[in-house]
Amino acid sequence: MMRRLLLLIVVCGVLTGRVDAYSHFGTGAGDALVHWDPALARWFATNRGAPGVSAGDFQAALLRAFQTWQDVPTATIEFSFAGFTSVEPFEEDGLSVIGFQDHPEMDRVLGATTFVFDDTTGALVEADIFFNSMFEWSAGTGGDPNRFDLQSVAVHEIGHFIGLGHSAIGETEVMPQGGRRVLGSAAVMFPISLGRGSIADRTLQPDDIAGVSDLYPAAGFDSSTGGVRGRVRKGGAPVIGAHIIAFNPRTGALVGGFALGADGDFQILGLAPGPYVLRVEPLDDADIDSFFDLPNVDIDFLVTYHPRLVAAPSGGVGDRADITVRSK
Amino acid sequence: MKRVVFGVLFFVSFTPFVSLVSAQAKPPAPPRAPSAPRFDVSIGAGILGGSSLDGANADLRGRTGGPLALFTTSSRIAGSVPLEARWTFPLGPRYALEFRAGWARPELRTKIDGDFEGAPPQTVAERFDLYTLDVGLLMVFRETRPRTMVPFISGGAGYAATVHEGLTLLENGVVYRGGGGFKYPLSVRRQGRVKGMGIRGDAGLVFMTGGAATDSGATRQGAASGSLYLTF
Repeated sequence: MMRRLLLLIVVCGVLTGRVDAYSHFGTGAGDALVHWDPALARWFATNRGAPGVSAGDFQAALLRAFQTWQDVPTATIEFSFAGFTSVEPFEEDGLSVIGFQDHPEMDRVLGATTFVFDDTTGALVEADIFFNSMFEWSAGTGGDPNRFDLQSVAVHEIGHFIGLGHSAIGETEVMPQGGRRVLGSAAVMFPISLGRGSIADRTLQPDDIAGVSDLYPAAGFDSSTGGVRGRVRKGGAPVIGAHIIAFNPRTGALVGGFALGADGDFQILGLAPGPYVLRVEPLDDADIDSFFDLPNVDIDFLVTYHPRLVAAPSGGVGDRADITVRSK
Repeated sequence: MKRVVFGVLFFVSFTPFVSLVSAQAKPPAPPRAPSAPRFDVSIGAGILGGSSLDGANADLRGRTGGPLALFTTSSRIAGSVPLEARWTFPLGPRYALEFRAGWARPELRTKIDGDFEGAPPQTVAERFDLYTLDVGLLMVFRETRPRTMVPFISGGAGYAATVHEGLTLLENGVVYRGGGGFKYPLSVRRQGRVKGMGIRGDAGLVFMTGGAATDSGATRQGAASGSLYLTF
């Protein structure tokens, strides 16, 4: 059975999360993950640009963004540009099409990705991306301080295109006029853009790299990396939807995951072996439904650290780390 | 031709003479020279002084381009008490090849501060098993004599493995050590399987990459140990 899934970059998304880290899209039926099989995706670009971005600039920025993911040495995903097309994104035609569209009603949405996938195996059939042409875009190599960087947003959307969900490693503040403004993030897959002029999201972060490598592992990745696991509880009850960050004090790498198991279980894989600091925080820096559609997500607790360093052993997963949090 | 015949005759006539003399005199056998020691084995314990590690902050990429600290950390490997064993094989009167195996259980401590969302500062820690196996060269400055302190210098390099509970390998790396010390023979025997016994003190520096070390370089720890050795 084919199923269509829509994810928006800024305001909301719909996905069924798995216990694993960062976040992967799940099929909602069993544990199958949405992914390309084989790990080679062909894509088309629409043959028109947007104000300030020619069709050629558009294609070049997309090629650079796809290359960013393809260059991850610990992952095997590959992409192939199939050509320009006049077909629009979001048409269920078996083609993966990327293009600009006018969506003035989505006044906080820079771009979005949709999928068609087999909901038994999770194998992707088609994935389309649109960029909202009501915003001002830049495709220049150095960016433009007054425009959104097309390549940065494309790297984010391509993360969805290959099956990654949103990461929660970031801090935001609520704006007086509504919405949130990001103060900082440590993942390209954070759901809120760093803003006009920023080209920081052209570069993948450890959380993004762990996510794509876990989904499309290169030879030796599983044996050369490790994982941490644990359980988050409050007053003896499981905490669902807690965000856990594994921090490597040696490298400074931050990789996140969510407690989505029925017992508040979490697991974060793809970590460089070594000791980690575990920090648990409520999921209060973006709309919860941009991460998953669970009804009982608990955000009423204080930021808490696990009292010990937790080991991620090479080729395995460490002992269970139980973390008890307190209400605010 | 004649010379050859003479030589053969001389040999034949001389041999019975020597045998005869030997059978008649039978002087007491000279004392056997002590056999050269084949190797030392030493077992001991010591102190590894610990080391500060490069602190890495949990930095987010701020919207203004600079880092935004989610929290800051500083880490340290605490001092530990390593156990060690050595096998020392003489290469001559002054040099020896030395194999060393060590085990320690240091604690890695990370201090967390400045949480962006106000979590209180705290220190988190965990103990790890550190196994080292190295080979090196030892040079003594004077000949070994009973009740005489023998200074030496030594250095070596080898393998280090950091292992967590359940013998799960966390990381491996390279260990380098250098320093000096003394050997003090308490007894030397000319015969028997055990040809001597003594005490040994070592002091120096241990450098380690990988393991519980930092990404940016090697950790450096002062080390001192005392051992009991047997010479075989």
